[in-house]
Amino acid sequence: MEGIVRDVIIALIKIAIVLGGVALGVAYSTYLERKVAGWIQVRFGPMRVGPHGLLQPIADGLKLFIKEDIMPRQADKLIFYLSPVICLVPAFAVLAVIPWGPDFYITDLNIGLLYIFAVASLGIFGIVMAGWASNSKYPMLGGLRSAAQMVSYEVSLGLSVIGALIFAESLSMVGIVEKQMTTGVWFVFLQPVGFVIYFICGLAETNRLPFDLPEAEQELVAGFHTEYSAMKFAFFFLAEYTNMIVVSSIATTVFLGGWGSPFAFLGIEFPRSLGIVKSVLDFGMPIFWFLLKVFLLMFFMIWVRWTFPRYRYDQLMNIGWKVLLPFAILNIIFSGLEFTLYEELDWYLFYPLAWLIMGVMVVFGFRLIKNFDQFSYSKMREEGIE
Amino acid sequence: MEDYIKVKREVGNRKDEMWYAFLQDLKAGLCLTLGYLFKKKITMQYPYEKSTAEWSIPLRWRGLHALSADENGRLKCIMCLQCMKICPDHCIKIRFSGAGKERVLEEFTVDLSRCSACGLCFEACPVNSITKAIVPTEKYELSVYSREGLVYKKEDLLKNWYDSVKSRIALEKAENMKKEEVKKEEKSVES
Amino acid sequence: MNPETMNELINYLIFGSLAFIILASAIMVITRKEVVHSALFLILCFFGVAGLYIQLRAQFLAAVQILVYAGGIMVLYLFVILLVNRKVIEETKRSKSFKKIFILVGLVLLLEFVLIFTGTVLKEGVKEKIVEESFNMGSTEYIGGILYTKFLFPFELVSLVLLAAMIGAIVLSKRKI
Repeated sequence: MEGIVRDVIIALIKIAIVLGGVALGVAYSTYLERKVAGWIQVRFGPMRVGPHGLLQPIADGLKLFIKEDIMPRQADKLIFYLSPVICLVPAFAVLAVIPWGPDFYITDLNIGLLYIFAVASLGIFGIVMAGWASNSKYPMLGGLRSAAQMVSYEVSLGLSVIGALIFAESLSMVGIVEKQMTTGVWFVFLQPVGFVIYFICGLAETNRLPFDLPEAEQELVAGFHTEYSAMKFAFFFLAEYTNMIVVSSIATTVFLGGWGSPFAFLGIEFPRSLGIVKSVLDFGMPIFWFLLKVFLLMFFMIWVRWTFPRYRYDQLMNIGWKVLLPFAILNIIFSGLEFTLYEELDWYLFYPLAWLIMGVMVVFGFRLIKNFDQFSYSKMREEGIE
Repeated sequence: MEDYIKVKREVGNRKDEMWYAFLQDLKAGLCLTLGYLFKKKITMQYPYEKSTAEWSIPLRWRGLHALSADENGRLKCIMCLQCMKICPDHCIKIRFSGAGKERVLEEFTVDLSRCSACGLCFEACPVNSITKAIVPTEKYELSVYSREGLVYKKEDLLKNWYDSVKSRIALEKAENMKKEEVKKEEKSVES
Repeated sequence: MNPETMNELINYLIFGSLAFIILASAIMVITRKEVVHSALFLILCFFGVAGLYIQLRAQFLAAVQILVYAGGIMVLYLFVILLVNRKVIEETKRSKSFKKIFILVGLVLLLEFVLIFTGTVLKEGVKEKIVEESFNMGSTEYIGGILYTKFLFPFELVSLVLLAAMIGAIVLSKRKI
């Protein structure tokens, strides 16, 4: 009995730390977003609240907290209240299996990655239901777009990590990272195509800018959350940025070596003479590396957002089904070949060969897709069908 | 902007699929924005800094009215009432006592709540000794807390003049002119 | 109370609440007037089933249940529901011509369940074997292994059926090919 109580208390402390940390991280990722947006546009970004605007996220949170909560009269009350929560809960539930460090994760499931995809796929209900419950045309359109977009990109998202899973031989997040630590190579070097596909699909799944059709400002006011205000809107906001953190964390875990240091190949260890400092460093440095990688990926996502224009809806579907999905499937086939080569060959033979095949695959796949496209267009023109 | 056009032309002219297959077009765009990320920012933090090294409010700015004074502190106004007459909004009010050359300006009020900033009063002013008698200053912060604050009396207008950069410039000009006159006189004496 | 009976009690409690959730939400699905509410309760029902899978130590199945049914198929359902006019749904609901067919299908399903139960669980000796095997039955390796060895033919057959359905959908949506 005492053992159970102790375990529960430890788990609760871990959950509190992770949730608190992520909530703070979310707050400051909005700050990062605005700062980077400003810098790219030769502005400063937030500067007024606190030194260099550092207290801006807290001021924003307070503002959203005390704002008036408006609800459309014709809205479906229950679902209108429920959908922000449905949106937020999966985003937070996913955090349970993310390994922040070798000794710091809430739990380790043996189906970790599958659990993440399963739970993360539920967040879409929040968006669709929000669009429907608002009983207003722009949210409705936003919800519909979001449903179509998420379903199409989820497929490629799931298939893109399979290549890495073949090498990891495990679905557990900790297992994936440990495999990368023991073999000493991050899966991004074995699976660059998978990484790129994963990242693009991740952008689409989090509704980030090249794919932010559900909330396209110019067409849909604010998309699915047009009718939301105050805390309910804040929930959607929180969910979006939490999802960003989650997508970056999964990319870090599966492709970028998780908590592994990029200088691990040097084999430096903290000397034993440091005593307690050594144990603190041993605990803290992996978390630091993990968070650094997540930060860099988040930065990259924000950078992408402020660089590229939004895709048209048909372009979005074309990219999802005609480019990313074929490439993801090609990548799985290639991964099987690569794995056998990896087992058979020495590294100085394996890497050039693998990368060569990969390059050929990309060019071949791209040609194929382009020819198919031209073929179908010419067919359309011949027959006069849209 | 030139960078953008250059990148756009470069991306638009590419015909080879290899270039696109390896996402080089996206890379070009990202590199462009990364360059801008580290550029010097041009925003001016307005209430804290009102002018930067590159920019300050131009002197031609038609801001607050001011009654100019000469280097001895005397008002330049000759009470010709031209500005009062030309003002389409009737916001200038002038009252004086005495007659002929002994006239004394007793009231000179500009009511900014009615002013449409047309600038006709400045143009109509016949005085032209370095500056006109009623001049626009470069001060653009016109908001006040009460309606009464928008009515500028003679003293306020004079204060505006001394607060403005223009008074200093006028002073310098006047001093220069004096020096030149002195030089001329010396020359004429010599000759 | 010794730990074993407590474990059993907790097990029964969890099973009871899951069963309650499944049944209650299933009833809600067919009684709600608003179709979207029915869809939401159906998702809840899927969650209950996933919970049962977890209780049976089949985490893989539970994850796939949520991923495929709740995350994939229900989204498509919702998509269709949102696209269809509300009035059309109400009118089709009112028509009772399908009722007999539904009852027939329900009866066939019930018969199937009865056959399965009498064929497996209620037979002597089978139950113990299932319990023995169930400890590793839910793991990813076990399912992968058995799908590609013992059940390879049915697996490929099912994929063929899906392929046929896919081709059918394309043919239906594109009249002229």
